[in-house]
Amino acid sequence: MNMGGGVDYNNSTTETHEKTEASISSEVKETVDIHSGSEKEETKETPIENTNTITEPQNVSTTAETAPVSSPSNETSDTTEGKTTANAAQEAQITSQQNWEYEQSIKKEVEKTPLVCLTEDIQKLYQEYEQGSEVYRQKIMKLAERHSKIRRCRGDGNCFYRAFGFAWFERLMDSKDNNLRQSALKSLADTIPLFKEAGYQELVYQDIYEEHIEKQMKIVANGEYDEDMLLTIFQTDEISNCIVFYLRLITAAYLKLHREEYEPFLGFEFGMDQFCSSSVEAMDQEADHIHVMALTKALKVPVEIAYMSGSDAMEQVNFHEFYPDDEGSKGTVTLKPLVLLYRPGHYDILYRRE
Amino acid sequence: MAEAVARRLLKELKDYQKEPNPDLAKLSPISDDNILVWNAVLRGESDTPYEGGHWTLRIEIPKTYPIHPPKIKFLTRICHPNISFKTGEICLDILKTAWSPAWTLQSACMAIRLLLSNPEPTSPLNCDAANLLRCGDFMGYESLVKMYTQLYAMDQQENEANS
Repeated sequence: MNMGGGVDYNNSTTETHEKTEASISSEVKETVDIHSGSEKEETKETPIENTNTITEPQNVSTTAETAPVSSPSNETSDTTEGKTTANAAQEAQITSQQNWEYEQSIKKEVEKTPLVCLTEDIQKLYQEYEQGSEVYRQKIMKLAERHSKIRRCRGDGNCFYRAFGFAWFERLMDSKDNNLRQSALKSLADTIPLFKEAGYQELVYQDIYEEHIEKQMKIVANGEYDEDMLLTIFQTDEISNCIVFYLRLITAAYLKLHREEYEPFLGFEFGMDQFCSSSVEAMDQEADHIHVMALTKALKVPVEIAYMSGSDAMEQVNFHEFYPDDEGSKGTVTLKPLVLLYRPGHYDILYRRE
Repeated sequence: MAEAVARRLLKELKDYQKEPNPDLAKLSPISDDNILVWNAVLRGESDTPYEGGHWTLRIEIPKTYPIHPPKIKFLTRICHPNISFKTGEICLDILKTAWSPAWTLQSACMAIRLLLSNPEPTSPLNCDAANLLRCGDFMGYESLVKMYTQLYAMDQQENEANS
């Protein structure tokens, strides 16, 4: 996160640690509602790949305490009253610089992972925790009973959307069912009026829909893709990010149109428009329960998510089912649920044993 | 890819030309050969110390726009806690981490205009201005801003045509 601000100029306050940016709420065009200061620090997802998650820093915080290294000379050499404030400020400055570098290094590390990877045997996941948590190993053993493979996605904050997109396209590709494919095309086409109703400008979604979304889905629906080709599409920055953004926009539009239902889930400080602008539409912002609910309902795609965290009971992995409500609709053809794996801050794709 | 950016930008230009925005005196590419660099001119909001001022912004658009945000900075000097007095750099989340492709150049410019009347002194790029606000000297802050508005931003209207 590269911010221009954060010049420390006042030694006596601790607020100099903050790197808040002035933050403007959504839809400036119509509303004039400013939100300042409370913009939460962006929590870049940790690169979980190939390391033990437990020992990885969970996010990049800007507070001096959790900074990777704080300036050693200050820490050790002085305890005298007069110096501490000056040094505190200096330390804060060094730390924000270090934090920035640290974030950059994490970003670089993260970018080593392709946006979407080839599948791997689930054993690989187990090996990741060989030096690590017993709880995780137990859970993976359990997971491996019903799941054979994992497909990793880059931990860049977009992993839920990317995993969802890939798994959905792949599922449609694999099922040779034409009804399923046509109804997927239709759900995508139905998003256009959704955007209009939610108040988005046409130029925001139209090109992306025509150029990428509809085009790709048609190719999938025509059965012209194989796994490698699909993977190439999802590994190409431009197309892949457009798909991610489009899914974000669908999520946001759905949330806005069902705001009475979902607003209670938000913190007090957020209105739905502001939430959508800062936590849904913005790239690299992680998805939470509420995003998953909205997207699965908007596209009528069932998803099951295996939640794996170190804190729960050892023997089991909890699956959360996000099924779009089928009431009312004429028992439409059902897609087998997509299966995702969630570890704190990150989503990957799982494959069930046949 | 470049084509897609151009298409989107042309749409944005058309939108602006179709419905001129009274708060945004100008929004267009600086030349016909390069659609990736634009200028905009902001009008200061009335009843704020920026009233009457016109500020030119330079907008550089990456080839990956709108997935990635445009780079926007002030060319006209301005006094504001979150804008660098020297370089015109703007500290605003939507231009960095909180950017989303749902924003447009126009709405981003309007967000910047909104920032003028809603400074965030805890993340200053202009410490002098921020300090006045922080210690509650609003009178001092307003007169400082007014002075610089008078000094630098009043003759912009005439310059617009040439900029």
